[in-house]
Amino acid sequence: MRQEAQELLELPARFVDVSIYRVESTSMVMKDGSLRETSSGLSFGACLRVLNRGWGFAYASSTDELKEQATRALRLAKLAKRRVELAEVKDVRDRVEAEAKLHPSRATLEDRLEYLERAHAVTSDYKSIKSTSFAYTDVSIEVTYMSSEGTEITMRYPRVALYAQVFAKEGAKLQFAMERLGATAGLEALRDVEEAAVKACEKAERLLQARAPPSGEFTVVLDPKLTGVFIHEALGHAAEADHVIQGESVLAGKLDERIAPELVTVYDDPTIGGGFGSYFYDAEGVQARKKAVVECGVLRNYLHTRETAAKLEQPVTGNARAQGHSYPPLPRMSNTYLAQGDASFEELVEGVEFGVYLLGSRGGEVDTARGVFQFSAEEGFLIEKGELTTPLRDVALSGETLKILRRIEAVGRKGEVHIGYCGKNGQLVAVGDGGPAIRTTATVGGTA
Amino acid sequence: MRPEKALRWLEERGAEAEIYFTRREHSSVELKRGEIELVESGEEHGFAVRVLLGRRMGFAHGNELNHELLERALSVARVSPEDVHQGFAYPSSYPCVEGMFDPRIEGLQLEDVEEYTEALLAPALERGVKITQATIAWSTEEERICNSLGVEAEQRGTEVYAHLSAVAGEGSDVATGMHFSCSRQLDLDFEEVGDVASALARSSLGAERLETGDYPLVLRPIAVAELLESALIPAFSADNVQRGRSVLAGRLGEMVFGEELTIVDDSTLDYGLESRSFDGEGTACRRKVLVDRGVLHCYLYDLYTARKAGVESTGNALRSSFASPPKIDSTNFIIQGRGGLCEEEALVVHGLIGAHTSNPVTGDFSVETRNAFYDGAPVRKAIIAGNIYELLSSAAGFGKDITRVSGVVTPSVGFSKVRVVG
Repeated sequence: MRQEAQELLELPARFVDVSIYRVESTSMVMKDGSLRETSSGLSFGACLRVLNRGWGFAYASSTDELKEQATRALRLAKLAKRRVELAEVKDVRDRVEAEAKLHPSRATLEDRLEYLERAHAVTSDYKSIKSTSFAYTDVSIEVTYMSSEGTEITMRYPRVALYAQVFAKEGAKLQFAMERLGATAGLEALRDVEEAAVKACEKAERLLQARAPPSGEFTVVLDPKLTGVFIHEALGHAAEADHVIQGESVLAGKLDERIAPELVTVYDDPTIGGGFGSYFYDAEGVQARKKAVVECGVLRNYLHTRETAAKLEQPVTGNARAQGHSYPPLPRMSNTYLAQGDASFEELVEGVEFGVYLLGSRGGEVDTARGVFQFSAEEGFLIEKGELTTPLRDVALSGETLKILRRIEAVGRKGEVHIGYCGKNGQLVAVGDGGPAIRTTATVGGTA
Repeated sequence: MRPEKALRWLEERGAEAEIYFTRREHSSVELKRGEIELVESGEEHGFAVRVLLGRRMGFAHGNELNHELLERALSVARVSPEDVHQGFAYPSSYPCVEGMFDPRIEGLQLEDVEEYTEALLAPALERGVKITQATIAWSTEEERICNSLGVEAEQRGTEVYAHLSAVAGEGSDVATGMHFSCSRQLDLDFEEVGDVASALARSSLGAERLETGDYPLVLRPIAVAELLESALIPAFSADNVQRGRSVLAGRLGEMVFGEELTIVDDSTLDYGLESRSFDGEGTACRRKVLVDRGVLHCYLYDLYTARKAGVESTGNALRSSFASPPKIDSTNFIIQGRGGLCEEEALVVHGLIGAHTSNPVTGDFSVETRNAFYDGAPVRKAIIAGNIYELLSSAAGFGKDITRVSGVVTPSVGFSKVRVVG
């Protein structure tokens, strides 16, 4: 395969790169205590980019097919009119592998099943929990990246995750809650599986008693998970350089300007050991590095591919990522988080006359051009006179990115990074996001 | 290895088996700021093998059908529990669905694509809005399935897709517009896609806040589809029903929505984007009335849940790729209703932000709007919040603009009252 890839690098073009993927995957789903769906996969795929004026991109499930598709892509690429330049990088030769104690490729199906059984076992203590699903997945990815500039890198990553979903019922009331665990590591990353299952059960039971939230603009305190989603959705996406260049980011033209109070510093760091969004080199062979997106309230960096870095005449950041061999790389986040502040949780809620404390995430979405975002918390509590009172469910929040950033009044002292998948242009990539709890002001969309 | 040979090999080892194959060719052009920047061409194929050792089910997938893949499926089956409801489909006759394959898409030429690109972009230039992203994509897909019980079938289809996002205005008054369309045939109106997106961006300029309160609501087809996919469709899955995870469980024959509303899942809709002759298990597809004038009639089944309930599979076991086991989902989810639409003093919403965060169990939603208008005037930012079951019970009118938004086929739908947080 390597030999054939070398030949493809010789195609008549200004620049060519080839990525070859080999992905082993296993997933197991336990439904209501019985193992229902186990799946074992081994996939091969390769893709190629050719650059003359604009890009031609080809992918296939076999080498023979890739040659054919590459010829077609080269012909089609004549349609591309936009002149693309690439930021200079030095060529790299490297082989790297992420650490794992119990690597998925050495684990048996029984090893994996054990985690599901442990998770399920603790749920029987909860009387109102009527249905559970636990889904285990792992992948062992090997990617070889080669470019016509002489770079050749082979990277190997194991990634594991476990998702808990539990349903609580009481009379006609039905609620569900989720928890997830995971890392770019081996099965050892799931050691706290019982704790995750317990958290999910307790949350589902609390939701049975919870009320619909109020609606309107309030002081809100976000827990670390939601801080992560807020930083990811509202700020991170707008910092992706393709959005900036396409004129669809509220952060366009704001580099080195103050966009938040001094206590706000945000990093994107793909080098966190075991981080769900961690990698050694990005999808263009650029070395991963930690960078501040916002430093003490000042916008410092956009997130770049080589193309966007050249376009904006800025240094490469190593943020080109692709879901797999059938997708071209885009500027994406890795592990994105708000740096710690110094407020205790009590300090965050004290003095709040009336507000909402929101916890856990059901996801979010942003319109980067208008800077309007929405995300949903799993649960919440009213804050009345500095105390947490009534439990709330289905608490959604929306706001304008720049306004809410400016209104951050306090940042907690205990940070966490959680796992997630981020979708953009139909591509999902594993990311980490997080930070400490924060206090700001936003619109809560309730029915009460 | 040929699928027939693989079946025999597995049968010789005491297994019942099923071999599924899919191959997809996909091409697209992506435009950034009005110029083609990336042209894509790809091919993907793979096999999925399911085996039954007794009633133990194993699943494995890979790009090539070889002994290694078959062995993996067997080793998965060995760790799986005996489950009497597991089983494969028996042969049956498959419906013929019109318009699934268009040879013009398979043989699409570069010159044609250039022409379509121009048509897609022209309205934006005319209306003076900036094009941020645009895509034209086309694909051909074939599927084959065979099993130890004698099922042997194949089907193929084509699809073409166009999308455009535009931005109007500058500084503090910026508005966005997005539109897309998809078809099995090369009959897409590329110019209309560009025009709708551009007009939405332009007409959303100068938006103002709306006071928080209860308002009549009209959802345009894209918004209806976004909301139903997350907040309602999961409730029809027999898997959710049987496991007590659906609020529709135990309510067959009951009035669940207003009597103006009928919902049909029709896998055999001619030219339908989610139409097919057979599902991911080789079961014949058909049309099912799920809700008839407000009354719940039917859930969506795969073979497993059907055997458990003692009914026939509805042919709703769908595979998202060769790498995923079949899962219950809707096909063409068709919303039909009686009664005209009134848009006066109503909040008219074209799209939603964060619809996927709706509660799939309770149907509660609280989502931000995209291109919302009150009495024709653009609204700056508004959350709509409520419960999908209450909302659909208050469905008060249906437009004539029936649109195929991916799998959901719906007109604009009007509702008497929804909470709007401005």
